[in-house]
Amino acid sequence: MSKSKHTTLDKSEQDLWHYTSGKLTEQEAHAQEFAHLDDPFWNDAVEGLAEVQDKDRLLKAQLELQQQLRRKLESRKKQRRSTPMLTGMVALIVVIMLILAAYLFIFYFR
Amino acid sequence: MSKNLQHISEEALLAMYYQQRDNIYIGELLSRYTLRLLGVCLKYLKDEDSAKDMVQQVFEKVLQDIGKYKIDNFGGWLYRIAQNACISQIRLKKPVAYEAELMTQPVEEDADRAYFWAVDRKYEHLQTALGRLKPDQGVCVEAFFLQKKSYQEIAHEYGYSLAEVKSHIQNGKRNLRIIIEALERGSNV
Repeated sequence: MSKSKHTTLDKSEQDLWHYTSGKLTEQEAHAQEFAHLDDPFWNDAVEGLAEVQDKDRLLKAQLELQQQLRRKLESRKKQRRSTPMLTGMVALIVVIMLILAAYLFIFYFR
Repeated sequence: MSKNLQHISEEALLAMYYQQRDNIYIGELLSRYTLRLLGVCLKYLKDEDSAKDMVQQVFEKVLQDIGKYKIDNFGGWLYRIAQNACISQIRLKKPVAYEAELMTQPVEEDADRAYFWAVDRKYEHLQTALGRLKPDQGVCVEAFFLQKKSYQEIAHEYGYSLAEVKSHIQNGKRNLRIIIEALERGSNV
């Protein structure tokens, strides 16, 4: 099997990519089919990927999706980091407002 | 995803996630399955843009839900999420027309496993059962399992479409199991 230049694919995804691109020998193709005979995930994926003629477009789409995933994870991380700070600030504002309200209450009703 | 996670097994990544609750491990797993997910969504939705959108929705769903359950088989769980999400979307668009088509989707057959083929102790029954299969199924099953030919080779050699080859192999395998079980019951009596 030719070694992939696409570093975004792990081994099983590389095999799937080579299989759907028709880059395997008949023996290698049979080995893939046999290994995934009872794997509906793999079989459905093969069927779907076969519908796209330009296989390079698939790799581009896959790369885009991985980049979007990475961005999603980073933004979730930032969100998680900023949440305690935001909570602290809200708490501080509430405390200041309570002190102010207490002060005004005492000032007007004395 | 991060380079140093690339050689860690799926099971280890899951274990690390449940220990540390860090989404980076799930990100690595999702990254490994991206092409498969895209393929499954393409199969159901038949449109590249819709499929890409659906993969993103699946990512989001996984990140939301993975912490709620203890997942042992990540691939199987992910496949079910993707399949259900696609079917829901199709149902929203085509509430009635697609129902019949969905009913014909192959059901996962737990009992129908490849281990069957590793067992050669029932060679005689196998030969008999092969002879009792429908001709198309017999040809495809023999070519795939005994002659180790690929789907493409079988299709080319015998003039079937790829879908027909797959169907004959799946149905042939199932029927073969049924026939062999019947033969075994008969010989045990």
